[in-house]
Amino acid sequence: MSLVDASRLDRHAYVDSVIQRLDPRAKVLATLVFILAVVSFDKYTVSPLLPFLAFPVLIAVLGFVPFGLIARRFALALPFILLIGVFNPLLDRAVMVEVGGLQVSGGWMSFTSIFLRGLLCVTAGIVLIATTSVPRIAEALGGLRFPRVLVVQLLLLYRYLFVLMDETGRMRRARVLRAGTTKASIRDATGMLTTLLLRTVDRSEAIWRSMLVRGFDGELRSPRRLHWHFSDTVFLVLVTTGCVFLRMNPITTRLGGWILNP
Amino acid sequence: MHMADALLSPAVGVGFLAASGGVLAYSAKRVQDEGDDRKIPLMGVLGAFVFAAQMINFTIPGTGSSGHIGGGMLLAMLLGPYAAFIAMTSVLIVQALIFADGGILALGTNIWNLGFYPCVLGWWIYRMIVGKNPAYGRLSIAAMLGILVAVEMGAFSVALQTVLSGKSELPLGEFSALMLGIHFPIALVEGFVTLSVVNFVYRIRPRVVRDSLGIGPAFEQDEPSYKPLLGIVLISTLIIGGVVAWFASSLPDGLEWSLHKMLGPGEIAQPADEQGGRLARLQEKTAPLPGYDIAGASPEAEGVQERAGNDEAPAVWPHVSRGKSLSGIVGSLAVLACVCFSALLLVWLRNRQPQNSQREPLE
Amino acid sequence: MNPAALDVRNATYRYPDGTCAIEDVSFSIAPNEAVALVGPSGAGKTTLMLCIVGFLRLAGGDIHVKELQVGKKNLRQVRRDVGMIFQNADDQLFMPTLYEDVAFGVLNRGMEPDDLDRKVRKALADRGLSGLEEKFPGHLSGGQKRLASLAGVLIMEPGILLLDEPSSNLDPKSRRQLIQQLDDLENSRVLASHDLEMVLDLCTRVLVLNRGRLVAEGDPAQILADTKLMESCNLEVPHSLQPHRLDHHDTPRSRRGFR
Repeated sequence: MSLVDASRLDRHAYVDSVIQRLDPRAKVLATLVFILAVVSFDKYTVSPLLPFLAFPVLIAVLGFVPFGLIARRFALALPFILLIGVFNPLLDRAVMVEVGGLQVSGGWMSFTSIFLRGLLCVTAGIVLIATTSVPRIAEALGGLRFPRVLVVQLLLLYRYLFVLMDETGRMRRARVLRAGTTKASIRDATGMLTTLLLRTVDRSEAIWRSMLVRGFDGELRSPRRLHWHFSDTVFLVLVTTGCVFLRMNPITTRLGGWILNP
Repeated sequence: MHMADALLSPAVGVGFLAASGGVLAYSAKRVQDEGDDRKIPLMGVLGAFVFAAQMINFTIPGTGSSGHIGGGMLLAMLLGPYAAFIAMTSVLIVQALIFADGGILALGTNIWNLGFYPCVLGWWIYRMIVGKNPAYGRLSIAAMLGILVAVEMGAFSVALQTVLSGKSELPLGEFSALMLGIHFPIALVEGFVTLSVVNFVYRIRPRVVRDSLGIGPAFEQDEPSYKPLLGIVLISTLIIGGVVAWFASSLPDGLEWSLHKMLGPGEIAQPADEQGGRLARLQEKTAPLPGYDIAGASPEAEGVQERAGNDEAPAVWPHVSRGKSLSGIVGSLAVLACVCFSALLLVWLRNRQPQNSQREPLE
Repeated sequence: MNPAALDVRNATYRYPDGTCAIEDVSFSIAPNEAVALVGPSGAGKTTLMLCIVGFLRLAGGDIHVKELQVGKKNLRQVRRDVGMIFQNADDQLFMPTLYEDVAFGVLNRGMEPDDLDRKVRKALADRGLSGLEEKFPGHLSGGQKRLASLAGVLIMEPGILLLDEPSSNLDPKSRRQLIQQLDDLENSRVLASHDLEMVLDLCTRVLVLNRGRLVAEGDPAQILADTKLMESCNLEVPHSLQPHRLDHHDTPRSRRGFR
């Protein structure tokens, strides 16, 4: 098992659960609907976003995706979002909300909104890939009428991705042992890139030959494996309805109001 | 740099998805028409190569920080623009999914910034300079220029897309200047590394480079016309601009209106006059370049301003009212508690089930 | 008389720069026969195999696969009857699951869905790979990968099987498993290999190539025991054919000790 493999998100896609068994097209479309709903809120929205957490949480639980994994991945994606978002409280200081003497500027509201959006969208993506492997997503795209070239491309890329990354890892380690420093000069990097590239081109020749020997004629054929079931329709309809409902109704505020004044 | 979903608006996201989708469809058709079967495995492994290449970090002289090549331009010089664009699209999809680098909606913008600019625009520039004569000097200059333009356009586009989406307060002028500035040395180094690699490859395997330029006995026939692609790019730009403007102007107001309808007039605890004024001043301060007329930058402000003048339909800004804020906070805590509790309950129920099928991920 | 499964006559192949990779090589292979191609690295074993499947065009001579001459016009037909296992198993298992990879060849021939499933599962079962249908090829062990590529080729029922260094990089157990399976096959087999012990186990005839020329042909036990011949080709006589006395055994330097 390579070093890179261990950190792959889609290892969990091979687990068996009700989520993993859903048609990948339904999962892709549901994720897209979810993300669109989340980003369609305007920039100061905070509380109405929270109920959306139910979606990734539910998928993660039903799909046996460990929360630690999600948290770790989110932590990696966070810096960029925060880097841009942090300017909001700096630039937008007009007070927007006052609660019990505490004044919150619009900038902080929009910053929190960005953070929540980030949380929701990134985790949605994480649970998607954790429950659907890349080849299945490629199949889904094919089923959704994306060009066949792209589907084949995704399959081949995925197949050789870790092979090449492992090779590169070995090359890098070998260089570090000889050069004595982890910092590579541009000259070193160019050398490694050229070697890697030439080897890759040679590899593609070898793959092409093994394809030809087995009758390859330009079309990478796979047995048909996508079957849409009623459960997939139910899933998609539920997610869409849920997202639309939550988007149009600020139930958080209502719930709070009801708790305060039952 | 990859755009994130968190900073996007639906208009910008969908607009760029459409634009990238258009280029993808065209590229797929061109690759298919070419009928070069050999390219299929080559595209696949070169896509994997991009990931591997991005693992090779080098120190950027003068800055002390490390960087890596993007790979789009290099791919285009080996595969031609269309196959390279498809390969980069696949790379970005896998990056977004497996490495959580960039978002799913953001794929449209990322494919445009990191796929279209290097593989198509940069390649065009390269091709214009090199023509049918890939001598080493020309190759180098062409590669460098192509990459510079592609990287800078990509950097600027990130700023533009962020501002157009309206979630960030960053003004366009300053943000673009920052992005363009940071990416310039990166582009220079990437250009240098790429041209070195391509020169090497050209020396050892000239065929690969020549094929992508369409030179050689197989290609003497006709010059494919770039007009259709140019057409798609122009139309995409118009669509993006049009959609963004339309969404920006009508949708927020539409949302405001429907929110108002849902909540009913009784829910509005405070007229938005003072807040409206504050927000308006806010918009002035943070407005991007003068004459930059996209209403989407602060739709709420606009909506509030409009409403403030109309007595019959009181301003709708749910979050601005005090009563709303308290409910919002209490409700938020309640929702979070519900979600956590449900999750724990479900996990407990799930683990009580007899486990006969595979539950552990692959080792 | 039975037609030869493979007939190579005066085959010559030259690199683009003019050097000869194989020169004037002639031999025949009968149906069901297992033949070995041995020789030092660069002798032309792989080149010869690539010529047989039509990836390289001969500069002189010809190759016939079951009476069909290998040429530009009939490559597809030739490749229907010749299966090749390449040195690097990873480059041959290019589909996302084992099932899809094994199915690749027969799908290209347009097979019915129900028949396809049965055939694929049988092909995997024959190689002892049942239960691994949904596995990602990258997750398989070296031995499993080798057997998987064998399954993907055998499912097409080729008359001739070309194997380039089939036992390289295999642990002893996988190697033994592979040899056993290859022995049970009925297709004509041509093995290019440095693994001379395997050659002794499997093959009834050996062809020695040196610098592109066929320098010897015959019974493996005799040819591979010919010290002079082996040395002239930069090869070693396999251990099992060497006269052994325990004190004659080559002591590795690290154990010689100092006196």
